[in-house]
Amino acid sequence: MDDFPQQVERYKDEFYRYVLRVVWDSSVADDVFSSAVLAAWENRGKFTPGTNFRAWMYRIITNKCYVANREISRTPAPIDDVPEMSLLALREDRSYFDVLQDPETFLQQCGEELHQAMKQLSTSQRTCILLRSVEKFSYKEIAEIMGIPVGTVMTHLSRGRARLRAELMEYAQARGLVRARPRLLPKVQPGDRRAQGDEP
Amino acid sequence: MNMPDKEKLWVAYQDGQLSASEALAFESRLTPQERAHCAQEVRLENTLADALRSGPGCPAALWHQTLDKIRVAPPKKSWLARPAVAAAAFAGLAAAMVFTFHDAFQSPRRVDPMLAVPADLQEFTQASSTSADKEEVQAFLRQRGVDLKLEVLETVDHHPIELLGANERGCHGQAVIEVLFECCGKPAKVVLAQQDTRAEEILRDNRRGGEVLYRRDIGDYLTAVVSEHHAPDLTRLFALPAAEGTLEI
Repeated sequence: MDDFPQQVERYKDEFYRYVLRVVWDSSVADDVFSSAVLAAWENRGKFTPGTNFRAWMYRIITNKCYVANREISRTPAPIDDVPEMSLLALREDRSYFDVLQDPETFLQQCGEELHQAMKQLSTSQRTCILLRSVEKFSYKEIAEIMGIPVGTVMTHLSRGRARLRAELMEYAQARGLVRARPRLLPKVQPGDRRAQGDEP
Repeated sequence: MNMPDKEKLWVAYQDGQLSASEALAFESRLTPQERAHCAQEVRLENTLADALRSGPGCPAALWHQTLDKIRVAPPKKSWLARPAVAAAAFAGLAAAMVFTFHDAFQSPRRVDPMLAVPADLQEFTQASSTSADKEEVQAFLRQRGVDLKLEVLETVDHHPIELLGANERGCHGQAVIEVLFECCGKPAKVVLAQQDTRAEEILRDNRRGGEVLYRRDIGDYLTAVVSEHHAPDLTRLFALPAAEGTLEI
């Protein structure tokens, strides 16, 4: 594989961003990226020509990220205390309805909180979301990259997404960006001037 | 996997991972409101992905450093292929280890693999001989003569639980079944050893180290929870079939 450096260079920015998002500690991202590329170079003989080079690289990079996260031994907020969330259950939440109306503005308002919320997810949940939503791998490819069954990928995706949304909504509710649950605004009746805010 | 089918379909549909016929069948069951909600979900997910996609690329200095490392690193070759180097390295390593870890050599302690789990969830999952499907795991148990009913719950004592699969391990000439779970993102397994076997003795022996958290006798089996994580008593997910099959949760 003589064109290995050129192949990696083609994807180096997305690889680096992926590492930055998966490892808990961004200060180790450079080391993880570098050691992953080096490991791929040393094992390039194991790559089967004609198969997906990008997916092969992601498998190596993901392994390095997992090792780094384990070595750092930093865990996110204790998930024992966090109730399990599902995307379907979120539909019942009225403040989520606000979010769905204008996701662009909502995310703009959340700013850097998105990255903080991502850090609250487990490595597996975060990895699945990044590989699916950002890198657009299929479920089957993600399962191969992570070495887990497709069903587990789906579970990580669903729970990770639900938790990410819940974290962001909590942030937004605390800052009044979306209405708090339960809905506190009184239902406005026609002709009810008080409810329309005409009086202090 | 204990995620409800409806949620699985919902996620796969939004991700465009259903086949055309599956997608059509799923769509036909959606109300107009649900369809609109789904479209909004996809829009939110795309917006999130765009936000996550943005950010700095690989710094030029890091890329050049990495390239420099590549240039000096030859492809990996087994150094064992060079006998003289290998022999010298072994001798040196052995001497260094004896010198450094003298105490450890005095009292070697090897934990039976049955009593331990790898820290890496990925490695743990790869050890499974089945998929994460509950029915497949149940069939795996049945084929091996294990007459216990498995019930998979989403949480046990507020710990999120996922079934990962099952495998079989040899222990002193006898088969031991391990049912693998993910508990709070960490590996945890329930070992099923037949009563009056060496495996059962080992599981009961506290002096053997390992990570046994709970033990429970169920019929002809001793079940034990093994995890480095403080997992709840997952043996409660197993019960005798029929009348005695009531879960204790």
